[in-house]
Amino acid sequence: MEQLFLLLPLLPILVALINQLFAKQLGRSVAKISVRASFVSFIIAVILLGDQLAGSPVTNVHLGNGIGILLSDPLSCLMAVLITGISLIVRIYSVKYMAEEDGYGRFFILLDLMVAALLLMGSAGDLLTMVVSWHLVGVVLYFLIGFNLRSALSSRHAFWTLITYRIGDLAMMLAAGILFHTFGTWSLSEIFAEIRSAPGVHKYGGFTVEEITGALVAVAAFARSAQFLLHTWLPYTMGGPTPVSALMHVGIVNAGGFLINRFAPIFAQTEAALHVIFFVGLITAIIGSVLMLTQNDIKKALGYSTMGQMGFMVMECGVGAFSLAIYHLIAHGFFKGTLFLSAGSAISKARKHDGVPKQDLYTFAVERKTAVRRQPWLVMALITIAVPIAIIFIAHWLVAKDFYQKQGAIILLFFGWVTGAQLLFTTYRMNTQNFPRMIGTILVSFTVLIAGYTLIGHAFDHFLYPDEVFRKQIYSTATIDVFWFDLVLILTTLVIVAGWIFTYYSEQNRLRDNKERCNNLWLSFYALISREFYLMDIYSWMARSLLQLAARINVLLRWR
Amino acid sequence: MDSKILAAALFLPLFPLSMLFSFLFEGLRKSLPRIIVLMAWPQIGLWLLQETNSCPPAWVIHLALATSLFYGFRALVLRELTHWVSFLAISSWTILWLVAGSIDQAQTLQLLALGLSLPLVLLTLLGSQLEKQFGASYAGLYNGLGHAMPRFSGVFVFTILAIVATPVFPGFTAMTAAFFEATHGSLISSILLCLIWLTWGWAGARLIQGFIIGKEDHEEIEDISRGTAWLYALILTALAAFGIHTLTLLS
Repeated sequence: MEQLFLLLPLLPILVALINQLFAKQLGRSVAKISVRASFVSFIIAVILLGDQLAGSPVTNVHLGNGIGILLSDPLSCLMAVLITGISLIVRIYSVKYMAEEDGYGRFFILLDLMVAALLLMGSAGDLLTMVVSWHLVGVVLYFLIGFNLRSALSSRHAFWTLITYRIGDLAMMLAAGILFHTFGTWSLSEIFAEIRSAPGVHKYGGFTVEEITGALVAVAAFARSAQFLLHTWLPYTMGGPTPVSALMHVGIVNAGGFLINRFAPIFAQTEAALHVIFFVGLITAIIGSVLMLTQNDIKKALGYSTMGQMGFMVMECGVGAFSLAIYHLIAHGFFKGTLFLSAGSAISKARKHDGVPKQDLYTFAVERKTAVRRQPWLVMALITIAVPIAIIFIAHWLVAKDFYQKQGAIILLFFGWVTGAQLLFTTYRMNTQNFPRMIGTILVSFTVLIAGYTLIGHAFDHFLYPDEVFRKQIYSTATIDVFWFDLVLILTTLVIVAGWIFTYYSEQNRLRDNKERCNNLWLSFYALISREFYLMDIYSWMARSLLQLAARINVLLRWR
Repeated sequence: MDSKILAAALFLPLFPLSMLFSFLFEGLRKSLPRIIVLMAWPQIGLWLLQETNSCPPAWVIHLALATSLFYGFRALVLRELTHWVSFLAISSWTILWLVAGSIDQAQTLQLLALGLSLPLVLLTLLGSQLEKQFGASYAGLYNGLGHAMPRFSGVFVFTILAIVATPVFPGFTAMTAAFFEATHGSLISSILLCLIWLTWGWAGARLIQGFIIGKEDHEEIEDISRGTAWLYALILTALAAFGIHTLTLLS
């Protein structure tokens, strides 16, 4: 099994090398070789995952002569299946999609290199391998996004990605430096064992080593997963080839969640890092979702949707639900990859015919035609508030009876409840022939989703973190003072319910008196979000100012 | 200050002595003397540093980091290749002041310095190729070399990656060693190193954009020969292999 594990990152490197060396002789066959090798990689990854599911122990696989260590554990095998699986689909898709592009061979070589870097990152068992692979992912992505060498715009977006990723790389490098300086070893297993045996003993710059390295790893994760203030690269990278956009959602943009999981033993010993992670994730989830709603470009909207999803994934880590974040990144990788790969044909078909059935949902959501006869508001209010919460509580209670003792679980339940209630709230005025059927369908779908999410999340928890004491430790690290927790939860609930009441009231009365004032307010807000909070403008201005300063200094010193 | 350290400050150029190196290097018109300077200059500096038999004072290390950042930052707006090579040489060689503290073996250190110089030598050669072809090696003067000269562009991109300390080239090892040395000291040194690396990446990406990206606006251009491309590729592969080897020495 160790040889198979080594073969996993080596195979794509070998294929890239062969394709480069014999590019002229192979011609378009580079794609076939790449696809076949990718299939073999996927089979190997599945075998390795099966081995882990069968209960194989965690193993350190040495690359030889002290070059590096690969860690064969449930997390690395799960990531390997995800990466090889989706990259196989992406490569099959690219065979025809990229057929008319210049640099067909170069594209497949870059894809192979990217997959190799991702597999190396997913299985890195020492700090050096982690830093090298983390860094290389950013470099290869730069060339994939800027694949079209004639497009200055693609190149500009690739550059923004590179610089943002470099910020994360440097944070990662600093964390590695501090860990090596403290523990005198590169091996992650040895570092984690030392942290478990003597937590909080070592200090660096006035902080515990766990706290400072936790914060630095979090910054690396934020840059990779497009968290707020480091997110501007993501929506713009959609200008690259569509298969690259799809691949980005496999192990690149969601690598932040993976990284936090990989360094879980460090985060379990921190005090504030997980709370900061939760806060950043929450802000990103909200802002990403709001920005997504204002986009008229399908790929950019998908980009902002990813930002929102990544915010939610990071937030899950912040509440201690580490394994749930891994499930989230896998599920998101699959559904967003599918959306990207079908975006091109959807646009092409929509040019001829939009294909949207003129049904109840269309007249309600697009044409904004609401039902004339409305349901009794009290019944609807009760369904809206009570039913989702009942479904969520029952689903969780079935898998873990003590779930309500974990604040993280309560927060996620709260989000589930808000989502379910919002869905019902939005549809209560929908014009439909059979209202009970519609509500029933929504509730069944909601139940299936919640039950599925809960059960799979629970299974992931036991697979990735079999040690129950450690699982509890992560949740307890993410816990805050009960008084403040309850207060924030109650206040947030009140704000959301007040928002629903306000929306209901304003829809009923159409805000006759304040229409103009509200319109102005709304337009200002819309302008702000349509300009993406002016962040890109601010960053561009800062970059231009720095370049002007460098030029002035050069002139002053006569270019010496 | 020790006279040997002062002399070393000229060869592992610290500001303002770095201006002397820049003046000398850019004054050289031919490739060969430039290559000799690039290869020999940091070796002399390291030899002088080892002759002192003592660690340089902390302020010298700080000045070295500040010089590196200063030249890395100024390189952001450079378009002329010789200027760029000169500034990046200063910026990367000054890192050796810090690396010298973490690598005890003189031979390894000298090989690492050679690993930093070699990509700069390759870029100098590539620049002379451009000068022969176009009369100047200036970013933005002729766009779209990516399509017009694919072999040249491939080598050019990998050379830039080697210079800006991309894994697994020796520059990356030097930077990693510098990071580990910096984490022993102050947080400020670590932050300065982060900024230096950021400016290198930024400067490198701007140079790639200036030469490789864009629509080709020239007619027939002669690319470098297949044999020459292979030679460059072999040197770069050897550099990468050497980088991996030095990384294992760190561990």
